Amino acid sequence: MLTYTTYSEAGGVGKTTIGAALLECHAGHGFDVLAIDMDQQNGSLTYLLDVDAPRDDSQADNIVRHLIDRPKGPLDDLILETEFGLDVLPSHNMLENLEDLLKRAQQMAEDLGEGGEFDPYDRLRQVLLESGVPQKYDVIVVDPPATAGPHLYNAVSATRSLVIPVEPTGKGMQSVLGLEELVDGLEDRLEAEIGVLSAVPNGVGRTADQDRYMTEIRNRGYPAPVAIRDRSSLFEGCWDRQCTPRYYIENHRDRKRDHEMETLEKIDQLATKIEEVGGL
Amino acid sequence: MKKGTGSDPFADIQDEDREETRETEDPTDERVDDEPDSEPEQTTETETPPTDGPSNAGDSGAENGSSTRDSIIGEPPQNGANDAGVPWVYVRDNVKQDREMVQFYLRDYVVDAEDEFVDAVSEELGTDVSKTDVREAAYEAAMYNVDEVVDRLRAWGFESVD
Repeated sequence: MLTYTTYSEAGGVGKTTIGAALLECHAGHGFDVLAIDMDQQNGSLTYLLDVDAPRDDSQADNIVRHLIDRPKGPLDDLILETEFGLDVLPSHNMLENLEDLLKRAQQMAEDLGEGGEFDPYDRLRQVLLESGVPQKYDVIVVDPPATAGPHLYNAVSATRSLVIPVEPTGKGMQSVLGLEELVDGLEDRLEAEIGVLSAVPNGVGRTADQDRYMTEIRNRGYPAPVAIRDRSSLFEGCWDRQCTPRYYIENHRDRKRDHEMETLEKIDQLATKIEEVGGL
Repeated sequence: MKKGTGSDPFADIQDEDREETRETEDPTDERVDDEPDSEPEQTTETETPPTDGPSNAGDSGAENGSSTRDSIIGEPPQNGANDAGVPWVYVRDNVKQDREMVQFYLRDYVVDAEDEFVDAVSEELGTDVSKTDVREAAYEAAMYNVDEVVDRLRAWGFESVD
């Protein structure tokens, strides 16, 4: 089984779009794929994949209710099919208050003498373990928001591996350094080993820049099989039409453009590489 | 942080499917004739200290009659210092490799003692050992010393009902 979290410290580097494109590739390779959307923002995977989830109905069952041990039904029932060959466990507005809700749930568990069993950073993994959901999938990918916090901690604890889109700028590289510290802390906290399946330089301009950043990332010891060139037009189109990049090109472009096909090809290579490393 | 995959978050549920990979890798048992003096005493543990331990809880004790009680824990699946080949500690990439994570709930006084324990073990060995290694070794050692574990549990108040 392959599990990973797509994470970057900086917002707007195409994390969710690249994540969706990777998921679509895994599905295209014949794997059963589940995306778990932990991002409460409107620009989340749930929106991009255009599934009809009641994200603002606090009475409806949702992922947060499961995380705080107040589910209204089986986790299975929350999972929706998309038209891109993969399933999604959608985001919900309650994720905005996740930290607070987890604290309260932990307090309640402690009051009941069950405090030792409630780890607010390991809830997603626990919920998945108890649900039987992981047995149904070959690939599970969690998409957390681009900030450190309980969403990220739960995502990492439940997947233990990372795919990191990196903005190819000094600031972007800085965020990789920040991530290293964060992950070190998480490894200790979760007593789990965390691996980096791939860094993905995204939005790279000229070839010389691309090479420089690829080299820098690799020198830090991270695999970076491909760099994605600046494809804002394609990625914006995906958000506009609420679909994955391949779907956008196939259904919304009047003609296939070589450079965009090349980008899809690269993402497919990346997906294959990740599958190999993940042992699929 | 390392490249590649991290540990398996769902190891608990996948264990069942994976059992079969275990038995293939028995280290070749060639230590019958050459007897290095550093041989750990684990293999000579035939005086059966464990028999009085767990068996009185479960009354059946199915195959207890035979004199050589099977050891609770088998040989480690990797090369050790006395096997041919490079010992496990040198071939692994990191301390968590090949290890499943299990949760232990420990009382504070045990947690407080751990660092000193690790230091003491490291000092004895003359080399630094990680807490993870010491923990597993300690647990393994305890499996060869059921009596001592039983005594400790008795001291906590566990007693047989009859």
